[in-house]
Amino acid sequence: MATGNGSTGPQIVKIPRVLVVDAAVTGNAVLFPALLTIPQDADFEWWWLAISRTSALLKMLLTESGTSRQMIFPGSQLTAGTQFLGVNVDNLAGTVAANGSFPIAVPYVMPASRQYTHQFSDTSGVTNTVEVVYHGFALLAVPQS
Amino acid sequence: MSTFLSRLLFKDGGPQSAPPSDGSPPLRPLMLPRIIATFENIFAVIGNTPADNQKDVYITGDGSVFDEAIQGGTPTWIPCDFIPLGPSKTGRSKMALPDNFTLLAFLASASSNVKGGFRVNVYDINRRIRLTERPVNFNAIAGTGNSPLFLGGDWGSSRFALPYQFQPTNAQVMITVVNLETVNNNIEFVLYGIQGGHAASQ
Repeated sequence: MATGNGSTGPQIVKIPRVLVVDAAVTGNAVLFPALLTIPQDADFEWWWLAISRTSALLKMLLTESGTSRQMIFPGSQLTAGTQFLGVNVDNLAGTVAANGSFPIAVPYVMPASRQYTHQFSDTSGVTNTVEVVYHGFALLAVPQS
Repeated sequence: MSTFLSRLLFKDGGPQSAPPSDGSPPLRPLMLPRIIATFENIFAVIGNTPADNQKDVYITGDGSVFDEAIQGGTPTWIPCDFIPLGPSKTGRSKMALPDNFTLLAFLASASSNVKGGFRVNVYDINRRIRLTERPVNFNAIAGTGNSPLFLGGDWGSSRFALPYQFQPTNAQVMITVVNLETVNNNIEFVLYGIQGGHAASQ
């Protein structure tokens, strides 16, 4: 990008980056929180999601903190007294080793320093160790030579 | 032992080594490279990952197969839960979709899958369009996050199909689920897609 004073603006370079959210969700926990903070050095372009967990009896909600934007909506009408807890983690993604990572399909840019709230709800009754992994690219701005 | 290829290559016996008695011309050596090309043609591989072609949405060194259809927007999951649905029961749920929602894939799971799990029917209420001709077994319409089937894409002109966009505002979809099991079944059916974004090709 030309700046008009003879110099040029920064160029965006995509560097592979993996962001990780770890949580040990206590048995039967409801909306157990875990936070992902995008590194402040660059925006993150999200391409793949991968999840490993101890038990499949686990649901997840995902909210973008800066905008309060929900990525998981309560589609069905809830019966009285029930609470929306999100999507089964196995319906979101599997592991890379099992060829089960989920392609976001239309890559999504997560701004630098922005926080994403994960809320896990367990029905297995025992501690559920879960890892949510975001694969994508750091959009690093580097000066043009 | 002579094989089909060795008979073509070396004429080592077999019925093809002699001219056919029916008067048709013998097989010519020129056929061989064509056959080998069929066996080893790297361009015969469809998509990026032959192991799981149904979720091939990224093109190496390029981008997404949806780039020409939609760009930007937020990845969105809209689950429809029946916790549980009774034995052999039918459940319906009218789902309100977020504005400007583009459907990319279905996802589904069931706690019991002995007699087929469940069947599901998807109906666009606003446009009165059935997205499934009749109730479909959930394993045949959707996988889990491990194995999604993506709808649409722009794999070249021969496979170009725009993903389905619901009515921009106040869109509603009716999900009908039939439990095929004789026990309570915890069922989840999910619409995955993009909220917002803009059509890149328009």
